[in-house]
Amino acid sequence: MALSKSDKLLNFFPENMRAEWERYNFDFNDVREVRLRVNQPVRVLCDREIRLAMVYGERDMEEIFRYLCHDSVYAYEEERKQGYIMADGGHRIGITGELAALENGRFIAKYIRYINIRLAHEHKSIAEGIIDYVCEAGSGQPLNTLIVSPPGLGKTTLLRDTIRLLSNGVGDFGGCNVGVVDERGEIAGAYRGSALLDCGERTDVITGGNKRQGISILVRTFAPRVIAIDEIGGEPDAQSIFYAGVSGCGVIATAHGRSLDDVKKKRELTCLFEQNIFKRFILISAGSGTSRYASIYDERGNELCGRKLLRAYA
Amino acid sequence: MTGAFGFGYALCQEMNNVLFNFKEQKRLLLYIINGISFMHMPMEEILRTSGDRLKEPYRAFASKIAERMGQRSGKALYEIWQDEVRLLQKSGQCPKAAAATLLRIGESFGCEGDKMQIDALRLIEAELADEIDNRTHENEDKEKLIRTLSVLAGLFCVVLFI
Repeated sequence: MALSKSDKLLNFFPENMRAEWERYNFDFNDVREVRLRVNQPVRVLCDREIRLAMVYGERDMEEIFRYLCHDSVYAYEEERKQGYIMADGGHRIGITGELAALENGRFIAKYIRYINIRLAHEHKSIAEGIIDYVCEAGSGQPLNTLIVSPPGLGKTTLLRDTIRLLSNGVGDFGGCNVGVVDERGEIAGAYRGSALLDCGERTDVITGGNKRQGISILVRTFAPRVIAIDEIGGEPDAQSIFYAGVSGCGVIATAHGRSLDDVKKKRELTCLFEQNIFKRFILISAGSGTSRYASIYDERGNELCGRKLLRAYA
Repeated sequence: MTGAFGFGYALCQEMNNVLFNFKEQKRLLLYIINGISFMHMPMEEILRTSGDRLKEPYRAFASKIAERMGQRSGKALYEIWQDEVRLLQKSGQCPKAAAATLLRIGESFGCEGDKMQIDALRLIEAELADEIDNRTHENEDKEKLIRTLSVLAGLFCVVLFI
C-alpha cells in the first residue's frame, strides 16, 4: 500500500502518538522541521511555524527517541555522541538534553529532552542555473566551490543537486566520477550505507567515519574528479580539502555563514583561502517563504552572478 | 506392545522438542550478541540476517519480527516480539517453557549502551546454557526409563492377552 503524504511523518512516532498527528494531516513535502521540546507545545516548521496543541513529557521524549533508534539505542551510540541520529531517507534528527561526560572528553546526551527532526527533501534541477559557473569554461573541469549560507537555507540540497548534475552530466558536460564524503548521511540520504536520494549515476558515497578518512579512501581508490563534502568547519576538514585539492580532485563543499567574510574569518579555514583553493563561492540567501537565491563570486570576490533564483516559493 | 512403545516414543519426542527450542533460542541469542558486539547492527538487521541461519520455527519468527520492524508501524520491538511469541505458542510450535524464555529475551531489549545490552542478553544465554545441560542429562535418564517402562508395559499387555 502506498504511503499517504502524512504517513511518512507518522513514521517518526510510536503508535500511541500517531492519532494526534493524523488529525493534523500534514503534507510531508511541506514540512521542513518538527521541533519537540519537553513539556512545551510541538512546533512544525513549514513555510511558517505552526504551534500544535500537543505536549510531550519526559517519558514521551524517551519513547520517541527509542523508537527513532529502532529499539536499538546501542547501535546509534557514535552518532548520539555527535548530537544527532540519522533516519531512513536522510532525515537528520538532532537530540540534546542533559549531557554526560565520557572518558575520552566527549559528551553524550544522557536525558534526551529536545528533539529536532529535520526532514531532507529533494529539489531536483535547482542547481541547473549555477552549474555553468561551477565548471571551467572550455575544459568543463569542475572548479573548487564553496557553498555558503546560514543553517536551514538549503546548502545540502543545492550541494546534492550539483553532485547529481556533475555525475550525470548536463548540457555539453558529459558527467564525471564524483566521490561524496557524507559523514552524517545527509547529502545522499544514506541509510545503512545506501544512498536513498539521487546523487547521480557516477557517484560513490562514503558514509560515517570522518572527512579525512573519507577523502583519503576516495582519492586512493575511487579516482573521483570531484569530491563533495558537507559542512566544513574544523582544521582537520581544511587539511583534508587541501589534500584533495592538491591531489588533482575538484572539491565542492558547504560551510555555515551569512556572508563570505563570515567564512573567511574562520581561523581553521584560513589556509584554504590563503592558498586560493576555492575558485567559486555560492552564497545562498532566502527570499519570501521558501524561495531561495544564489549569488556567485570568484576567488577574488568579484560577483559573477547576482541573486539568481534557485527555488521559487511553493 | 506397539501402542505402548509409540506412547513412550512420543513422550521422548516431546521432551526433545523442548530441548531443541532451547538450543535454537541459544543460537538466536548468540547471533544477536555477535551482531551487536562485532557489527554494531540495529536489531532489525540482526534478526533479518540471523533468521536465515536458524531452523524453523525460529527462522520465520526472526524474519517476521525484522519485517514488521521495517514496516515502522509504530509498535516497539518488545510489543512485536510478544505478538510473535504468542502466535508461535498458538501454532503449537513452541512449548510453554521455551515461550517463557523467549518472552524474557524480548523484555531485555532497549538497553542504552551495547555493553549493557550484551550483558543483559548474556545473562539469559547463561541461564539457557544451564537449562540445556540440565535437560540433556534429565532427558537421557528419562528416555531410558520411559523406553524400558513402555516395553515392559507392552510385554505385560501381551502376557495379559495370552
